[in-house]
Amino acid sequence: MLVILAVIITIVPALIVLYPLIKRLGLTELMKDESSITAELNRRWDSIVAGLKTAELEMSIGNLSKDDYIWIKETYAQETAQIIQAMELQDEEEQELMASLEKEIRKAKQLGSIQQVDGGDKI
Amino acid sequence: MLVDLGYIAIGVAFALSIYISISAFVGGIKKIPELIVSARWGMYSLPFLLLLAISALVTAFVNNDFSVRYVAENSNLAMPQQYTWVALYAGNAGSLLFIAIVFSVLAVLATLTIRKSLPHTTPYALGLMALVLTFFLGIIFFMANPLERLPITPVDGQGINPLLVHFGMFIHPPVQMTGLVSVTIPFSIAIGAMLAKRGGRDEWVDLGRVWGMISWLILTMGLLLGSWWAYTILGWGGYWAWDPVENSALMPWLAMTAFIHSIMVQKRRGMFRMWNMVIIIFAFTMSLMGMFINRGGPVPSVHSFAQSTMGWLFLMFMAVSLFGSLLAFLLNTENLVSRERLESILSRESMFLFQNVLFLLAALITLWGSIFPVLAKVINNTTVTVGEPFYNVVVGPILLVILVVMGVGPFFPWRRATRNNLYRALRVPVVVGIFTAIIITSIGIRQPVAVLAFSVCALAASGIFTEWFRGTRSRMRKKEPFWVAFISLIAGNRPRYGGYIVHLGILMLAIGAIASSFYSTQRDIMMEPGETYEVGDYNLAYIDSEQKTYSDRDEFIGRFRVTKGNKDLGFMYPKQSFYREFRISATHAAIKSTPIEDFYIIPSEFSDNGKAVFRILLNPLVWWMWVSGPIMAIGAMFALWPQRRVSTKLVTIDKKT
Repeated sequence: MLVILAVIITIVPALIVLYPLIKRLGLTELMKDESSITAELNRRWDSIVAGLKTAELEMSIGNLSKDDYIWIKETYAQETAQIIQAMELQDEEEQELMASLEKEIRKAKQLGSIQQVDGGDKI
Repeated sequence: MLVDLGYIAIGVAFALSIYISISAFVGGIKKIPELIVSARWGMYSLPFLLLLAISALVTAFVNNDFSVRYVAENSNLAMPQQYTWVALYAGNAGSLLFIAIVFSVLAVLATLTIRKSLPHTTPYALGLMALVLTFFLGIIFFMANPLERLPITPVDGQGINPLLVHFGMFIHPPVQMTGLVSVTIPFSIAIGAMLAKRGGRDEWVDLGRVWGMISWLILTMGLLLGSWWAYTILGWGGYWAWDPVENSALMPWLAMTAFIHSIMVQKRRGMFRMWNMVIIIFAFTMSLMGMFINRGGPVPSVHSFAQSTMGWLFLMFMAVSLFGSLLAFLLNTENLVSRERLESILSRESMFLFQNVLFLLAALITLWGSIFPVLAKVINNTTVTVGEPFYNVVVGPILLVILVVMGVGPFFPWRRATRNNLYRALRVPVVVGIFTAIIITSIGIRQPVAVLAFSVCALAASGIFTEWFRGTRSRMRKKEPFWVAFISLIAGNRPRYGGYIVHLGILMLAIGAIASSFYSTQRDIMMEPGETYEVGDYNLAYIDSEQKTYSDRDEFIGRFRVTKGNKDLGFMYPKQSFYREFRISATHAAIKSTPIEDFYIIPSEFSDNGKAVFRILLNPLVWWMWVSGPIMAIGAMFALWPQRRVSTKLVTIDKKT
């Protein structure tokens, strides 16, 4: 009985770790990249929102003078503009990439259908 | 059979943890997703194996199976069954198994939280966590097996260490051990991100902060519960003795406190990237140092019950992990350059940096004080004791300056503060601080350090309350009722106000510590039954004493009737138990605790004719120290509670419109 249970205790974890290897699981595992430009821009966006929120709060409770509040807000506004610009560039690049991909796919489809037609003729 | 199965489960868990670390690192380096998933699934199955092992040990305890060496050494037939839980970690082998299972659960939770948002970091973090588990499981499997059988089964066990037979022991050791090992999680996330070349864009910061705060909270609770245990059972009237084991828990706490603050600067400004890595490496090293001192540490301590001869293994592991992580850090410094620079000395960022330096200084001095006796013995063959006076003189002032920084720091805005700003923000708290100094001096508190410390606490507290008041008032201008304004102010800025709640808890702790350090009254008196004695406003009548004999101990219980002025406070029963097997006396203080002061009686010696020696203490404001724990826990949880993210899509919509 002890031997059977010992074998089970050993085999079950082994099967658990082998299963992803046999079934080739996890193809999407490394698809997303935390250090991508988009992820970085999102993080910087979040920190600007938090900074602005804090500055507004500090201003409303009297910890920040109006001049300093305006200076901080302007600094954040400049950073926001840079981030939006970078995001748009990212979007444009992404759209260009998607468009070229679609173009390639269309081309490939057309080529495929011509070949099919050619093949049909041959038959 | 269950005992043997438990041991097999430990062996399988050990082999599995080796596999996880190898497959996670290889999967991460070679970008093989199947290996990463395999490692992750392996990590998910580890707690189940360790659960089987710990269940086997618990069952052996419950069934009084003294054929298991650990059960025979840490329990006996007289031990109440509820202490099985305590006996489980009362010795070295059991506590290591406990650490391993707790850490495996934490590692699973950490993996679940990081795998989606940090996919490239996860394999490295997983590999590091598995390496730490491999170390623990290797020791358990080869050197400290809690399921080892004895060649001959004794009729009865030796029993549990009497010092552990206390309610505080149900929570303090597990929380403390969990706290120490939990530092591994933020360490693994940070170093994992660095190894994956993902540390330079602050990818890991959010989750590093969350796990850093969780670890900090557990360490805080462990320290407080330990102090409470010392206060109520060790019978010397204090709660902190700068004992090496206490220090070993304090050092990672100090480092983690620095970390959870400086990580905020990295989150907000992309600064302190290298600094945060250094702090988390230091915190992890200190947590290993804590475990080293705890088991086999060469310095004598009241915690010596967990000692073993395997301290050198922890020391070696600490040295290897320190060397490895510093090497990784040095090879990655170019990826860790800050995005921005300090814009002004008068800014929140520089206050965080200053506070960080103070925390690390306090930790390093504590470390030096803890290891100096060992160095003196090894190098000079002289016996040196570094005790309370050293720490009071050297660490005390640093902690006071930290309190000042804690009080004024939150008033420094991010990026830069002008003098005008600081004047506006600090005028009320500073006036309150000065006013407090005048009032407490006029009521007779004249110790300069105590006056200064209380004033700083008042300054910091008034700063927090002033900000709450001003913030609420500003929201009330938008026609919000008081409570709605107050709650929405706090709920809308959880990390900030959660942090303030934690600061309030720290202030309570500081007030209790300062008052009881400077204004405690102590009397050692010999009394006969029927005698009365007066201490302060209290009158205590020693009625009689009673001796009770149990199978494992003799108990001597004194009975007192206490009055304060005309008010009857009832009976108090200080107790001393002598454990015959262990030849150890454990005292249980009788305490009447109020927010103003604790009236505390400890028995020192009972004689046959009823005469007894008692130590009477009046400890002011200690109650606040114990209350600070739940306050800090609430604050930390509040700060950790996730907040809704403002979507970047809004910007695009705004632009289009």
